[in-house]
Amino acid sequence: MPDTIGNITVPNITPTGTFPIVPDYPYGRAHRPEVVIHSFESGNTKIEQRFLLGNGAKRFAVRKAVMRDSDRIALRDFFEARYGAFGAFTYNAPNDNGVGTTAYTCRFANEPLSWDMLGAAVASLSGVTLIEAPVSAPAYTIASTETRFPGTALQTALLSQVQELIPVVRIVPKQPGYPAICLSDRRCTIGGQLYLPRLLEFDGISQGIGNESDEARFTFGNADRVMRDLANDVDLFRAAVEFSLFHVGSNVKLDLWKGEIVNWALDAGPVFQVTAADGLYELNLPYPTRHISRTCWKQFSDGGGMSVHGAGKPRPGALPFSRQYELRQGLRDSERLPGSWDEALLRRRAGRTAGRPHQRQLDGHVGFRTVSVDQRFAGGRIDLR
Amino acid sequence: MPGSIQNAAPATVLPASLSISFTHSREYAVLVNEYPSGESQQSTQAGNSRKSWRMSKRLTPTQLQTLRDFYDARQGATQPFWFYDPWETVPRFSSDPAGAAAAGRYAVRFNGAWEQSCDLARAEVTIELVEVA
Repeated sequence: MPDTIGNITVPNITPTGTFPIVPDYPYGRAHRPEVVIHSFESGNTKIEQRFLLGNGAKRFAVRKAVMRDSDRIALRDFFEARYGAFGAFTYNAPNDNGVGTTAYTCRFANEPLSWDMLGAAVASLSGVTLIEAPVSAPAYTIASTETRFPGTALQTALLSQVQELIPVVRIVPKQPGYPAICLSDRRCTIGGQLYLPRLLEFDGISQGIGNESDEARFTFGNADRVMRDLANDVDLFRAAVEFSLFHVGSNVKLDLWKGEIVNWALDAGPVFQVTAADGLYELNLPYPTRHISRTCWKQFSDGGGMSVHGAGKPRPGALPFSRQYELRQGLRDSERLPGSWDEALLRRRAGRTAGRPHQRQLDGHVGFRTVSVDQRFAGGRIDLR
Repeated sequence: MPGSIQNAAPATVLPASLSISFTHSREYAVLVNEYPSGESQQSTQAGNSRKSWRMSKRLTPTQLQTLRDFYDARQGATQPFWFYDPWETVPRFSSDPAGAAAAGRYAVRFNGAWEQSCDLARAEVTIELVEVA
């Protein structure tokens, strides 16, 4: 049964074929668990705390000092049929004792495949790297769930030098009945809930005593365009985001942060970025949000919002364009006048504003300044420049 | 809206000469996400691979002059030209100076600077070619 994120099916790449080259000695195998090490000054600077991020994938190095032309062509065609690093296949890796092989599901590393031609029908494969695709996923039970502050058991467990914390994100869109989206930086099952590998980075979660809101940022993998399809399938705006840390040693799930998605972005690259904020975010927003443009948004002489009719003649009593622009510019330069006051003022007839004392007061209040105005009529719109 | 960028239209062929080393590389444009535990996601961005070649040559002064003039006329990486991969032509190791034969022919450009090292009666030069479409 394929994995799904929301209603989007995650593409599953089925391994096909067997790697055609038997490597020469020395054949290599490497893997490097990713560990973050925090060093402390106590214990003669030998005290440190190590956080395991992941065990890493096995990497196999295949070399062939002399390769027949038929082998070269077989490798070339195999690489082309897998679309390079895209496809998966079986690699029969020689055992350490040189007796027999062990089959692994692998893919090519995302790097060029190169060979040196030694003669008319002989080539040399200086090195090709194969990366194992993990086939198993760990499962954990939850001993307890805590909110924000660790309890006694987790506090004690966090004093150990060896730590493993699994970040998990749960996204619940506003659309009623839409499945919750459970993601992590690895495939794992925690408390019966399957989390899929998708979380690449997270930052911005902090705590302060001021009135600022947290702006958490999550970076999800989008190489297979699943997150793009998800954003097209459901409105992620204001979807609830819960960020938790699962402590492997104590099996405690710590619900650390919760907020709502306020923005998301993607491009041609392999990542999908989500920005989320907590409840204070809305309270700090200036209202209404406005965008300043030099282009007048009104339709020319439409008889409605535009106070002009005929060939560039102002409606009797309306402010001339230059005054409108100057007044609007002055109002925009003022931070003390909120909202759309300038629009209300502009709709007033000139006879009720221009030249009156309160208009002059307003000019002084907003720091009125004269701006040279070039009125252009084009395409039924008026551009004030 | 403007249309698509046009395909390369090579009009010349790289002068044929022997190489003392010849490396063929090919690479797919693949987007990959890799996670600490070894999982990955990927999608391919192209239907076929992009080839490149790296060749070292020991040339006589005349051959060197011909190749360098060709490099200069192509303005380095600017202009495309045809290149015959000698292991893919029919018959092998043949070259069509007119660029009409299609077998083993690739539209390429130079990749990198011109660097030569002159010795007694021979000069060594390494060139790198990248396929264009």
